[in-house]
Amino acid sequence: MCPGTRSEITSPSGCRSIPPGSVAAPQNIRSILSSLRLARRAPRRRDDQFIADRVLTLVARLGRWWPLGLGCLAAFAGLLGPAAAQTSSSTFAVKQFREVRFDDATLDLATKTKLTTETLFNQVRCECTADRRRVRVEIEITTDRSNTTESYFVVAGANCLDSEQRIVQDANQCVLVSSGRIGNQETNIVFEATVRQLMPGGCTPDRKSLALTVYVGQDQTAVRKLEPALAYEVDGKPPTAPVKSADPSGGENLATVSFKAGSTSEQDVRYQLLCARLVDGAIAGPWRSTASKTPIFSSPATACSTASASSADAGVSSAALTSGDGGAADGGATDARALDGGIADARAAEARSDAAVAATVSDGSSGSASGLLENPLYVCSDSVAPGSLSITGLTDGQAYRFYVVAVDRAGNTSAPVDLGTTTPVATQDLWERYLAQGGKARGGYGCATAAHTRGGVTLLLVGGALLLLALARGQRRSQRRAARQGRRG
Amino acid sequence: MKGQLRRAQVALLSFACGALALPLTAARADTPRRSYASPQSFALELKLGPYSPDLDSEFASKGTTATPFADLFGGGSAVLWQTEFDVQLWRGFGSIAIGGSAGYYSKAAAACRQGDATDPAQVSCAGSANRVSGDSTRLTLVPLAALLIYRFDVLADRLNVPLVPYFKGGLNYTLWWMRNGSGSVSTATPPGGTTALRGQGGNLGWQLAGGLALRLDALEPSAARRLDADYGVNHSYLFGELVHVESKRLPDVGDTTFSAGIAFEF
Repeated sequence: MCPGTRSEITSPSGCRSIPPGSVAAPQNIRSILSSLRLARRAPRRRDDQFIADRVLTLVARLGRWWPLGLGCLAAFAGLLGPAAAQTSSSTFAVKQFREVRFDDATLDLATKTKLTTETLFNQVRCECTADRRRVRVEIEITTDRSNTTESYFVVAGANCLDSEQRIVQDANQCVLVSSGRIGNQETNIVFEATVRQLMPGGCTPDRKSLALTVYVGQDQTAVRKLEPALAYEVDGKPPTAPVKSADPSGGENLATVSFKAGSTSEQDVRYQLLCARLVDGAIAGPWRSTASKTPIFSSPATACSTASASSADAGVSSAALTSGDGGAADGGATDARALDGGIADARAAEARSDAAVAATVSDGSSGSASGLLENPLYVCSDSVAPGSLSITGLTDGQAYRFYVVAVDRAGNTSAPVDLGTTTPVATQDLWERYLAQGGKARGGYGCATAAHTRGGVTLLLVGGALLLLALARGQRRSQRRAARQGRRG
Repeated sequence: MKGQLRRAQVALLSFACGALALPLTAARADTPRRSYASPQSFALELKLGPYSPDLDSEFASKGTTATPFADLFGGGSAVLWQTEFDVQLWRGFGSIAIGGSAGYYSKAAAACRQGDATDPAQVSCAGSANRVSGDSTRLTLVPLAALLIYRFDVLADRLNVPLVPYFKGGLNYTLWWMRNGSGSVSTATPPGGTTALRGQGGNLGWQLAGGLALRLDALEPSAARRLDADYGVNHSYLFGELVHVESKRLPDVGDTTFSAGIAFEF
């Protein structure tokens, strides 16, 4: 092709530029046609020399147009090539991702929302560092045993196909979790992978979108993508820790704590309050490690890996809290299973929300224990807003230490922030003091005494009568005024 | 309360004198009589004033020195916000209206520390050491009233004296509740009792009020006319009033106080 937007071929080796506005293409076509017509109009000499000359002339003329011919051939190849390849390749296809089954929870992809999907993926992020948790994935396919040469590749990650249709060979970006020959694939694709494999780039990435995608090809260097893919999101970045505003102070069966958000730009961050009983100034368990007496919620990392610790201490801690801690004893026993298992399925999460703890928070909102990652034995309240909050349901005379943890939508937790220690004390409010000092009021909305009732009713009757009188008089006056105006008119 | 009454009297007196000192003659000379007046049937008042329920009067009348309200809340007042809507039934030599009003009052304080006191009546609230900052107690009142109102607006209408004395009287029903630090209604058992009582209720009573309103039309007659022509607001007022609320049931949530505000007739 000649450079520029409009050009005309004048010789096999050169281009002549055509000024804008002129009609060049018809000239070209005409010259081709005229040369062909000249050839047809030439006298028909039947000698061999003449035929040879004509052939050579034609070849020479056509030879001038070889770039055009090549271009046409390339265009045909481009148009027909993929179709031909498609025709020759298999009918192997993904019908749907049927299910993603964790060790103890199944995600039915037909009924669960995307949020549930990502929730489940993110809840297991704590397990992925240890590679303990495995995920079983079943992909329903359309089989094609006629094609014995191609293979399928199931890849987890994002942007896993480069410009040359090769699967990206970067473990931080894409991970091949399953592969096989199509010809051998008689049933659905079923494979198991670790959660870590489904989270290329490590277990604590910033929030990003990934997908589980099936590719088909002769090998990993020339593949095509099959639809649909299973999209999911991972988010391993913990939210910014909140900041303590003031020391806690105790009231009657309550304590007031204050904190503010660590970051104003983070969205979808909720806060959990953790309450720990103190005995002789120290937290009275349960411990991650009884020897070191490290509280279970001492860091997000430990919150992620409490499975063995909580199972070991669950019995002791539940008993201890039931006897003394008004904060979270009820919720603890229920949630111990969730921690023990490391992850709860959606049904367990719903059940957990029913297991409200005794302690509540009053700041205009109230909460119940539904912590997924923190030890629920400590959770006094979930989903509280920053500010000054009263934690109720505590025991007077019992010292407590309070912590607050920021939890984002994916379940990532910040480091617990120590809000301080206080002891609820018995107090006297106005009503208590009023009654204690001999006040005779008894509350209620009726009338206290018969005398008062009579007085009230009398007042009501007199007022009502006056009102009716005024209404009647006003109406009569307005009628008279209207009548007078009518007569004047 | 006596101090408050004195202050209220001084305020009303100043208000009246200031109003009388207005250049009435000039206003009369400059202002042509209203050639247009829209129908007038209603009045709306927005007002506020200090309020301190006479909760402790019950004990004084019994001859005891107990002052539970003053112990917790001190001697100060909190603001009572009120709104009133009147329907003017009769207009002749003044106007007669019926109306309803609603208000809101709330006051909080730190709860008293019970300490080692075995007798709840002996718990001391004096001093910050006997208060618990992490716990609070709150008294909330919502006074409702049905009123009969007489406004003597003859002077303003016929003589261009922009002062309208008025009187109100009627039934009062005050909803009240006391909350503890957790935000729930306080519950307590009286000495010798067996049943816990909730600190909430409603008290029927009566109330009387007298006040003086300054008709603002004289300050800006043209604006007043436009307000009437465009929005149907006949008159606007600044007013102050003395009010006595008598609670016929315990606890005594009544008070004698004053309030001031702005009113519109339309």
